[in-house]
Amino acid sequence: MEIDNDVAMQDATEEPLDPTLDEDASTVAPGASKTPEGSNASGIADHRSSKPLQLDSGNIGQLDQWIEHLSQCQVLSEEDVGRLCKMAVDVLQFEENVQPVNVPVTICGDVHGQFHDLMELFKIGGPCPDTNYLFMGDYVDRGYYSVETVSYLVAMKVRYPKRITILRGNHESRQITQVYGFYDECLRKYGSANVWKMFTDLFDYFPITALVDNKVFCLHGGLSPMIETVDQVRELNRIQEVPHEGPMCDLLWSDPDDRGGWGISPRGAGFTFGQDISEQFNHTNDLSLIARAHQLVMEGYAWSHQQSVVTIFSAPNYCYRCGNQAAIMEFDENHNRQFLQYDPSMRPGEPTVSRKTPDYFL
Amino acid sequence: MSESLRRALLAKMNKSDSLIQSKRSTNDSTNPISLNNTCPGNLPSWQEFFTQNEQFFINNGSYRFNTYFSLPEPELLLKASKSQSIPIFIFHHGAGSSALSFAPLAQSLQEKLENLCGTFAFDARGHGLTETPDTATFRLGDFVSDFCQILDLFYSRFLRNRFSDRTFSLVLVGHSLGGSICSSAFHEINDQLRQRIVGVAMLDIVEEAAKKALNTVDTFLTKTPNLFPDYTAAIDWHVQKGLSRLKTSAQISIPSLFTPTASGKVVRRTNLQIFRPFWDSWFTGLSSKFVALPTSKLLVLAGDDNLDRELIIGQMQGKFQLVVFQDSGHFIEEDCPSKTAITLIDFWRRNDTKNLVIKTNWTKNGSPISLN
Amino acid sequence: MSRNNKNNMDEPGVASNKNVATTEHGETGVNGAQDGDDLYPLALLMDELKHDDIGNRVEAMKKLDTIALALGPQRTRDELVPFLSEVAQDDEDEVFAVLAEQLGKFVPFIGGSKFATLLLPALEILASTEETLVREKAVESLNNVAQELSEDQLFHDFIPLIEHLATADWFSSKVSSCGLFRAVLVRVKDDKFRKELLALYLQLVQDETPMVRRAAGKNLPVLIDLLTQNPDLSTSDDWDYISNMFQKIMTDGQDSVKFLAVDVLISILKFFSKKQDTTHSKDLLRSAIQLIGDEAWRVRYMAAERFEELAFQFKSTPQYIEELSGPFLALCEDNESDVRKGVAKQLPGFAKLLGDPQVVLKKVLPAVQNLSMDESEMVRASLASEITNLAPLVPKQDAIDSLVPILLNMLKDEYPDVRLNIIAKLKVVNEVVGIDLLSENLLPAITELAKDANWRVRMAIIDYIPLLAEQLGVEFFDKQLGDLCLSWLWDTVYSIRSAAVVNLKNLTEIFGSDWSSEKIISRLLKSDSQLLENFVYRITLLHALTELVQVVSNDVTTQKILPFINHLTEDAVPNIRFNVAKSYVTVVQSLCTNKSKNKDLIKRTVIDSLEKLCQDDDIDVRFYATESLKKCEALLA
Repeated sequence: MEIDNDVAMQDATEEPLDPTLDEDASTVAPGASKTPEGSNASGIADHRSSKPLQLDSGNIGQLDQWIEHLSQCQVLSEEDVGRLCKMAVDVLQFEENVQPVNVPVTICGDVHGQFHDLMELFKIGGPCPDTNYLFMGDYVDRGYYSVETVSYLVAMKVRYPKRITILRGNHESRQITQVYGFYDECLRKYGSANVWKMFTDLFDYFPITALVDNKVFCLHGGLSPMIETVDQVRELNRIQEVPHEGPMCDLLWSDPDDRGGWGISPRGAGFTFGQDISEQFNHTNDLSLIARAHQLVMEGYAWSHQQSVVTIFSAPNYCYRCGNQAAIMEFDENHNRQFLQYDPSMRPGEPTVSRKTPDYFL
Repeated sequence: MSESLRRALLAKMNKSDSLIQSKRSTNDSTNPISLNNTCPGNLPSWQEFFTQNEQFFINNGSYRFNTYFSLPEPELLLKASKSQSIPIFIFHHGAGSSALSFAPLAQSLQEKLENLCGTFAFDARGHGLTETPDTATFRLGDFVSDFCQILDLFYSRFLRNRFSDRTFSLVLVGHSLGGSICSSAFHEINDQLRQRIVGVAMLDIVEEAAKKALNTVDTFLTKTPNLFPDYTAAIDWHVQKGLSRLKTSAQISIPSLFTPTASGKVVRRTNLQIFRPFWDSWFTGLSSKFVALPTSKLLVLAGDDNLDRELIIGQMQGKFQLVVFQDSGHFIEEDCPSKTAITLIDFWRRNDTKNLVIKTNWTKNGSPISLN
Repeated sequence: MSRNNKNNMDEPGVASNKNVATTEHGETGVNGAQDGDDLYPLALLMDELKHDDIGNRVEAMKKLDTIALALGPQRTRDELVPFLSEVAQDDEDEVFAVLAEQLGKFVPFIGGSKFATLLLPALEILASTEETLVREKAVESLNNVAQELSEDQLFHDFIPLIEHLATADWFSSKVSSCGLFRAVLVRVKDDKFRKELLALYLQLVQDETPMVRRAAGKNLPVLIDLLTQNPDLSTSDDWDYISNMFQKIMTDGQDSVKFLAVDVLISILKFFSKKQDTTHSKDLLRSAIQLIGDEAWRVRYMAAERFEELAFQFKSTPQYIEELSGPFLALCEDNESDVRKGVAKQLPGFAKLLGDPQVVLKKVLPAVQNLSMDESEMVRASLASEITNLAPLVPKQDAIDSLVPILLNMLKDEYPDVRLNIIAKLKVVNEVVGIDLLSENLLPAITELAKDANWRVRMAIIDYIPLLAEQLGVEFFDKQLGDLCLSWLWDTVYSIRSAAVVNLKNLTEIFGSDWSSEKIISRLLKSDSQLLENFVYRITLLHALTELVQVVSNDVTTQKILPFINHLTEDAVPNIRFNVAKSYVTVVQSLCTNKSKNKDLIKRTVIDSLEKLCQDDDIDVRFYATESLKKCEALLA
């Protein structure tokens, strides 16, 4: 048997969800086979509206109440998450693959369930809606409060659709969240996987890139050898699980590199791209900058490719042990950039996760 | 088995099987190649997984290493396209395990690559059917040096001729301590062979967790019986404890860890306690060493993603590929041979630059500004 | 608890080897228990308690009270308690900890105190586990249960339990027993029994395991305090035992036991103070001095930490206090920084006990001087937190000549905590020496803190500004601190800008509307136009002026602030426009204090602008304008 190169294994994770990928299975199913309407879907997208969600005093009151509750780091009930996700589908499905964003806006990177640090971010950058925000994905996994973090950001998105933009990161995926904590956290906090299903179904609707005032191209990962123009992003069908390869995968997985040209990514998904690639992309698309997240940078932000690309990472002391600073980038109405760095929030100790010592010899 | 019962049994065994007792720490030197003993009739033999079983002598013949491998048949190589590089997977097992731990994985790789690949595994010093002098030490450096010498021998005795007119690529795959050995050996392997390496894969090893495990290893050792009534009992115990979850894997891997006694029982070949003075050296600095390896890297973990600080930073900077098998126990190569094989093949394909062209639809190539 | 085999996981949609099916079946959702309509039968609880995931087992344990309530006392006694005693022998520590805690609240569920002894066996097992947390919870619960027991039950069940634990082979049981004597000691009115208990405790104090001796030493002060509360209960025999225990602890070979003697000594001293019995004072003073000078730093550290409290017990004899001053000063020069850190906080307290200002000046101040320049920042910060309290203890001129220079130097300390600790307690110095002297050196310290790279340090200093402003007076403030207060408005960190806004309001409350109009508002309205090109600073300015509306006169609002706000209704950034809409409510609230006068103005400007904003292109501007319009109209009605 020749192994098809288009298999699930291209990803940085295994696909335990897929029953066909059992041990001894002779074939491997493509990872993206599961559509949101599939048999396991949560139902949040079953009754999509043909018009964007209309805010009225009723749902605004409800949203404000949820936001207040979530800002105390308390989870919503499963029923409320269902309602919120249904509303969010009717906001996000009408956003574009390349969502236009106005200035001024504050651009942020990975958060990864570090809820208290997200609150710290707002202390530094100012509260939403007074400040406009653009988050470049990776809200869940690894931190202890993925549920609270993503619920809060989605609630803010529904309540203030013009004030906050939330892009999709490579962790906003069914597969990755099963390995890196969001799935387990939902199970722990709700006793079932329903909330996980609702959110991962919702993730399919998140926009994948944003364009700030036609000049700054924002996305989670980086460029793709199959995407030369911003218009080509607009042609993608994004409403699906993050594929294991291809342009949509690359946009969420690629990294800039010191070597020129395209390179194989050590991550096992996406590519690396050099300064020549970044400069050509910015030139072709009349951009001043590519802003992206995805990589931990010790200072919270890092320039590469002679300021063609900036990496922003907004989870301080990532995983509660990496010792890195976090940063956000304020981009004002005159296109001035200001980076704000910050450290972990002050809080009583995080819950200690007792790690089981291995019970085997080495 | 309770501790007192185990002690009683051991005491009894000491009387009746004193001959074998005395050999436990130094292996079965009087009866070196006793493959039939390790392979009772109802259990599979190594021949179902590898084509060759050769003995490699190093250090002036004072060490005799027991190796298993398969290489593509010359006729098959002739049929395959010349431009295609053939992957050869070099395995190193962990402490207390043996070469045959990789038997099911090697078989799976051969199957999936239709025998157009090589697989090579050996029993490390102090393990399996490898013969080790009493004076042997078990530092990381000792294992690394063995590994490099054996690889050299393998090349000169078997690879050079077989691949005289075509290319091959090496993928180093180490499980547990074996992962640490592969990562350290990378820089020690001779240049000619090192240039062939397309990547290093470690199976279920994280420095921080490993050091923690060594701190509590006594609990594990006291709970681990060294004597079983027969092979089946040994296999069943390991399957039941989740140390080899797939019975078909356990049937080939576990018997190689035991040797029969005069009374028909089976006793563990390797006394894990003899490693105690050396294991401080086994994992120190592993995570940063792995992240810094100047080649492609793959880390496969079982159960949870329990990276330590160095590995998390490395992973979040995109320096290596991480795969987690949630449904696997520690012995990934035994519990999930098929998935592991697919992962390794993909890892090899993706990183073997000889096989690789990146497809792009960009109209212009190169940048408006020339770069140095 | 073995993990499920992977062969169980062929259910589609179920991610991993985790036992999802059971979880869903168990309905452990957050809401289940609250609704009260979903009571757990015992069988289901047992399922949950056998669940693979420790989290589920812990959660199930936490709901024990609900289950007990549902079962009723009889079944709780007959089925649940025996089941739990079994569980108490075979699970993980996290589960034990919850169980131990729950059992302490269980007396009402099993039918009241007459059945309370049924809980003892399970708790006894838990009190013998190796894990400290579990033991501590079990001991706490045992003490809770003991309070419900009659004297009869104490004698028949509880005291034997203590004896059993105290004489067990394993150290963990003995450690737990030390925490249980408090439940019975003063409830035993029979002298002979109490003596036996103390004899048993003495054994624990001399146990071969340091862990046990430590637990005994730690719990002894509690027992002595109980005797102090019941001063007529104890006999001289009892005190022979206690004195013996104290001697044993004080001469223990392990530092970690010996240092507990300090607290024991304090408790003993308190007992004799209460009895007004001074016959042992001299001996106890010797013991105190011996501990203060102990060769083990941990013992000296404990003596340093407790110095004031220890010395306080000798206050009826001034001569003894004086005898303590030598050892005290030795602690101030101790080699260990932790010891110096401990004693640095005790300086004013001990100086007060010394009483004589001359002694304070001659003996204490030189020590203060040294500690203020200590190499350890922790020592200096510790000194800074209390040192200002020395000011009232010496004559004014001496405070100025000797103490103030030390304080001013500490205000320049490179370590922010030292400076902040001083500033936080300056008031007491101000009361003694006046602000003039302070201000000269105060300013550089404040300016430096105001620029600290850590925004929380900057935040802390802003919090002190109103306090300082009040002390310094308006003239000094305008000259020295006004610019600084305005500059915080342009900080890059939102929280600092926000605190700066509140600060301006607080200052206006202190210095008045006219001052604010002239010194703050006029300057704000002349802010650098280049700065205001960034919406961050326009919105800050808007917030600042809106905040001030609440504390300035209507004239200032209408003449200065309102025109500026009106002009922002046309701002290009929607965030500014909807904040204008919000600000209008504050303006109208303020102007409505004189509704008749301002009604027309409000209608002409505010209402008119809000109506326009209600037609804005931006949805959020329309929303807030509509909200504000409603509120303003209600205010006007």
